Amino acid sequence: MTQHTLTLLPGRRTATCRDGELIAAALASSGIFLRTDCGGKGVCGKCRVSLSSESVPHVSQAEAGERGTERLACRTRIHGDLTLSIPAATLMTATPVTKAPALLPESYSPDGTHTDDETLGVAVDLGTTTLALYLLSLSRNTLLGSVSVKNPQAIFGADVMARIGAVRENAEALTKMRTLVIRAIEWGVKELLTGGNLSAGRLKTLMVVGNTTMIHILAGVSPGPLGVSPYEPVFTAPRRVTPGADHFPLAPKMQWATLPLLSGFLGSDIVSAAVAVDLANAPVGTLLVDIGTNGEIMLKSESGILAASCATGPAFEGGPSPVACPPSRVPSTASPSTRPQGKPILPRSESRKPAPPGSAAPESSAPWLSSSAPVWSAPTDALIPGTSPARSRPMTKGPPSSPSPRQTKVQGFRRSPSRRKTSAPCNSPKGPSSRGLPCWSDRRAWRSPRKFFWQEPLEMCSGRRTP
Amino acid sequence: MSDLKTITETLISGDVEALMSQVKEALEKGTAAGEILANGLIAGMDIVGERMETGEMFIPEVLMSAHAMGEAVEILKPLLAEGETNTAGRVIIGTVKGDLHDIGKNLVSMMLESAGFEVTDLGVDVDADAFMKAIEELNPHIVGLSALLTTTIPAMRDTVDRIVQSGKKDSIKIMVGGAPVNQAFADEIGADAYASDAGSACKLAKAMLR
Repeated sequence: MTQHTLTLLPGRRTATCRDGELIAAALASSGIFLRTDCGGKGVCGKCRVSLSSESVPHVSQAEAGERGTERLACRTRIHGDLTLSIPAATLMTATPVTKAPALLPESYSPDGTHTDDETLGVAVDLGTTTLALYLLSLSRNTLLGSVSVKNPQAIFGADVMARIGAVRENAEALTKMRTLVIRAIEWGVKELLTGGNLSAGRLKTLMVVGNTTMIHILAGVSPGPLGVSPYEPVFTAPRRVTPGADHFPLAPKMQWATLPLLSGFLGSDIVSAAVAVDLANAPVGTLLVDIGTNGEIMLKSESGILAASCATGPAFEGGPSPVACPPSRVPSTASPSTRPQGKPILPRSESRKPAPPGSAAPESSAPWLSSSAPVWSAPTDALIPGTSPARSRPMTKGPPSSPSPRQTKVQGFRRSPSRRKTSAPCNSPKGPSSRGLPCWSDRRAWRSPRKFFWQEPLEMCSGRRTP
Repeated sequence: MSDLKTITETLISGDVEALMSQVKEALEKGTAAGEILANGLIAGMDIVGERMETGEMFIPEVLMSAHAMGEAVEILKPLLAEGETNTAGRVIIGTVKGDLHDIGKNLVSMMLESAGFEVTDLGVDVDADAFMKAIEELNPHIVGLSALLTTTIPAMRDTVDRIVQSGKKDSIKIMVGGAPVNQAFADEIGADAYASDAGSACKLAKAMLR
């Protein structure tokens, strides 16, 4: 296969790429992430790069709207050696996030001794559109900072179905997307460490939650089966992920782990949310809704927890859409927030305000965002302690397009009533709870009288076992 | 004549009960069933199709009208002379393998039926074999393929390939539709027509068999 060399100006850093590769993909493979707000559809114009004049004949034909030596990296294919420069505004930047808990649950408190060799943990919410990374001090039990990064897999498509389709079409896409997201996580972790002036050697554990497709890709397992009926995942059990020193040279010894998945479209993100708000002990009728590019809903019912998922599309996250939904504007400078005292994180940037009501039309470009989108339901035993993943069978077959969403009972997180506390006050008045969000520092959520199979990864984070 | 106009309007509004009583009333007054069907109901569904295309009516409203249409046709059916129904052509329709989405397909199916086609709906998750079997049995004029997922549109290509390989393609028009499908994809896989919504699907089907 023909290889070409990319030379970046200034500095003349070089990278190799294959013939026919997109500029954005080639750069991402070398750890340089460009803004791909529109998901590589050539619409947003954020990934503009500037070619040297002699490089222009070495790329695919200019598309409409491209002038002179500027090209959209998400649409332009490489057919020869290139010399290019990347404008600062084109580079991906991190954004401080405000939704992080200000304090860790008290049950994860360290023994009270603050040593100099502080260990660090990273929590990652791996979303289809956005990654949120939280840097935590495991020995001091505090959140040190958080950043969000656009998921660079967006060049393979904006929604999970497009990513699954990319893998089904070409198995290589799996390795590429995996590398992309690991690089993005590394990039985010670096931002956090730099912001807090901390050393990568202290990183101990990295926990990832995300939808089933994202976790499959991260684990290097093809999400292909999720794309066609009966939409079943390859695995649901928590996994240890080994990014490999090649992919994550920053902290090769850091342990990566994921939380359990429920079904093809109910991922560990909703599981972690359910654990965090202690949904199992919430009043009957409590509804937990995770609005992302893929939406997930859990209902505490009299007979257990019901779960369903629904396609919401990327519109809520400023994703690509034919509707008037402006791409998110990210501040042009990296600004990881670092508050060693565990105070609430920096306020959300004004420019990141969501689009005004009415700017989004009822339909989005997501091909599966249709009135007839499927509802996937959870395997009944995924949350039951002690059951093997092999027994987990997502109940996806059923009457198609039945008027009401198909639901499956999910066993709640069992705990003995005697241990239950009534509502513990949230001790962070400016924290998320004051805005009506779950109170993360509510310690009930983390007290668990029995050990479940999903606890181990959580405990890895704490560096300490719960009784 | 004004009765038929009222029927048309009621059909567009999707009011099943009012439509039923108006159809019955028109029959009592001596209006021919064929007349009610052609100039009252089908005329109404044509307008519904057009309004869907222009974005004036949305899927739930179109579903209501299509449902009302189906109910009204049930009253008229026994009264229609042989040859007055389902004369437009035979259609086989289904959602391709791997895909369970059927609202769009059902809507197209209902619209085609309303336009006088004899529609056989194979349901969802239909593989190429099942399509071929139905083609052998029913000898349709049109085969409609639907897919809603980016991951399942390749199954459309497989199905089209099978029809071509079987040598039946010459006597069959293939129509494709669904959110990830577009004209370019339809051309690429060798389908005869692509429609973006039920209204235009109906129009195209009629045009293709004319």
